[in-house]
Amino acid sequence: MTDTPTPAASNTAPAVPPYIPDFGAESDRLRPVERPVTHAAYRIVLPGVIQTGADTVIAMSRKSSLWPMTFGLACCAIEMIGTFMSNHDLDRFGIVPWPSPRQSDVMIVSGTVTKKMAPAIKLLYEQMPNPKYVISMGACATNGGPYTEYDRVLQGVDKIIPVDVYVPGCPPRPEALLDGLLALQRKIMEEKKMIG
Amino acid sequence: MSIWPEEHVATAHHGEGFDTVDMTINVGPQHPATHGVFRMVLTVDGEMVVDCEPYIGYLHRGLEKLSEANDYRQAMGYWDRTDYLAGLVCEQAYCMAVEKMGNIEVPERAEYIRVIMSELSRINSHFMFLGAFGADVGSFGTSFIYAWRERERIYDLLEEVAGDRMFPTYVRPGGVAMDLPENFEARCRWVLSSVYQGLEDLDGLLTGNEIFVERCSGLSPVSPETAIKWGLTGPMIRATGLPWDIRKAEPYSIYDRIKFEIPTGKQGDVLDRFIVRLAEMYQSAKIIEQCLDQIPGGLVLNPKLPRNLRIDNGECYVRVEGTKGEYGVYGLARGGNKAYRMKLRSPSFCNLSALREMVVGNYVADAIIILGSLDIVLGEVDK
Amino acid sequence: MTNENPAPAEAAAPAFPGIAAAIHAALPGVPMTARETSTDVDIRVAPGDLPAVVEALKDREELAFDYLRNMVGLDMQEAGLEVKYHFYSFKHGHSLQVTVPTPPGNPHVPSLTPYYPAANWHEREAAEMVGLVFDGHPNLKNLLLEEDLRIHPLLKAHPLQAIEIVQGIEEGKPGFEF
Repeated sequence: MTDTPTPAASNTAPAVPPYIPDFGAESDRLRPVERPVTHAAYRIVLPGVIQTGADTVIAMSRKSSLWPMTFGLACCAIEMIGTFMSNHDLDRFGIVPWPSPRQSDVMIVSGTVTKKMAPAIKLLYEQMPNPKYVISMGACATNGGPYTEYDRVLQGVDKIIPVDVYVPGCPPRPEALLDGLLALQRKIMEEKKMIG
Repeated sequence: MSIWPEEHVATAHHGEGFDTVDMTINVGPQHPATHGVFRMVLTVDGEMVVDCEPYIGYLHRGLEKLSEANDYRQAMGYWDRTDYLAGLVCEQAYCMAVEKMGNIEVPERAEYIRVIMSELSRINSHFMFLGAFGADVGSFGTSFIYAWRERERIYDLLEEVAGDRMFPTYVRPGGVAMDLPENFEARCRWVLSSVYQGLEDLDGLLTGNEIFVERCSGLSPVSPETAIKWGLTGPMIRATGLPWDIRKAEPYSIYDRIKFEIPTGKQGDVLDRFIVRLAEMYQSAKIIEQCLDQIPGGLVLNPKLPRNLRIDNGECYVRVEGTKGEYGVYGLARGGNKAYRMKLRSPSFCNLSALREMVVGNYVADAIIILGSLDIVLGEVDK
Repeated sequence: MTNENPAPAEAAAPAFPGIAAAIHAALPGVPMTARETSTDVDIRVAPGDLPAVVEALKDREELAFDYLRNMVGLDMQEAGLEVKYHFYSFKHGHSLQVTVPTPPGNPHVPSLTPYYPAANWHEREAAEMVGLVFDGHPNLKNLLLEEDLRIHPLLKAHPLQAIEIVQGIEEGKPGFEF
């Protein structure tokens, strides 16, 4: 390379080929996800002031402060209590267990519903003020679960009250119940157009 | 059928310038302090309870009927959901019943594993009692959260060994389903050290609290004769002063090789029951440590079991020291792969039958504490 | 694992094994048979003799069965209904099972509540589950079932509920019989 350039025939490019990186099919693998064009949920007008629609605010406030009525019937109640406790904390989502039906938003039916208990469940559901939601936690509340063949067991709590979210499991892990509650929050946000 | 209380004859008290009528209060199936779906109708004169009628059956799920319709291994899924705070104790009791009926042998390593799992479940259940009882007496959520820290650690350990937190169907007729993982001993000792720490915290929170002790001491004392008459077992009868524990009186599994003490109370009141359960947890931890030292190698499941377990003739009544008392499984086999009759002798059912005796004459708030001190679990009561 | 009957090997099996010998000696006039189950000794007495037997079990010093631990109501189909009691003695540490068969069509058994208050709830449950009637019980209402139901779920004739499956049942019930 430090030789004096020889004239004539060897007046071409130097022996090292130029470096041209070849990414191959990476552009197919790392294609960015198509994000649908959405309207912004809120718009910042001034520092500290946002402007949004009333239905969004109402739906956000409903979903961020769901107070479940502690309605533990059986074994799923233990996992429900475990979800409220500090290991799988639900308080950070605004979900505070509340014993009275008159002041709670969501009823988590956790456990087997028997035909003897069914009138009480119906009464409790009717005592809750609107808007109210029901989460059916566990296999027993969904369709009778393992005990479905016994004739004193009601085959699912949705035979007497309307259910919004079903959480499967026997019993569902606390993370599964958390997933169910977050799904309920998404459902509440989806319903915001129907707030009237 | 109806959830409303029936006709209660209201007694009117005349004289002393006051005409009062007894009030009927329904402590309904849904109540934050009834530990499940339990209902009692209290007849109160002012604040004093005059009569108490318990109504159960709101969780009657057909354990016994379904045990006749499913074969021996399938039915276990119902039995461990009876005492849902300590599933592995119930699994052990049921498997012992099937083994007694069918003359099935259990390898020694499996017995040690069963005992370790049972005692971990017992600690789990008693932590729940400490948490819930503290909530009944007045510390609305604090004792719950303290108790659950340890419960989550034990659940994690159970999940590592058995596959599921609460109802792993790990104990099988003839042994256990699979062997312990390699790091089990280290993990178990770590969990036990954390349990000791948690017990210290809860002890300081509750027993060190003067209000708690004032409320609970002297409340509804029970004598040993009353306890035997009414069929109370477990910590209820040990609190009265009688040191009766099935692990020592009618030893099963390998409990005869393990040294532990039986904590007893003096007068059987609510504080004694609390202290007995607290002391039992230390004893359970000691049992686990001894088992970890003594556990042998070998198989964990009887290799000669057929795929389809049939028992032609067998009858047994197996009793186990459950977390609430004497957990008995009566089994009758008359051929085939399904039991002819399996009956659960549930300690909470028998303890609860004495509720009226204990509650009448106390205040309403004390009635709630007495119910909490019975430590009932409705899956057992309602079968 | 099948359980062969040990009858041929025990040619000299006693007629009243264990504690049953002492009971038979205490009550010579009461006809009873005894056998051994896997865990206890079982004696079989008629319902009419039950109060006399229970009084002897409770009051006799050498028996001293002060604890009624369990009660089972069974449906033996053609043979009628049966009741089994399990007793334990805190003083001596022995346990016993008592079987009381009732003839089909006459399921009456004297109640043990005067002797053992623990029998109260056990008898209510057995009465509603298989249909036994306990004479002398103070309050024989339904315990686990609703107040006005007159069904007996643990009878073999009482059916199970059909499972309600709403999807994927075109080929029949899922699972297999083995």
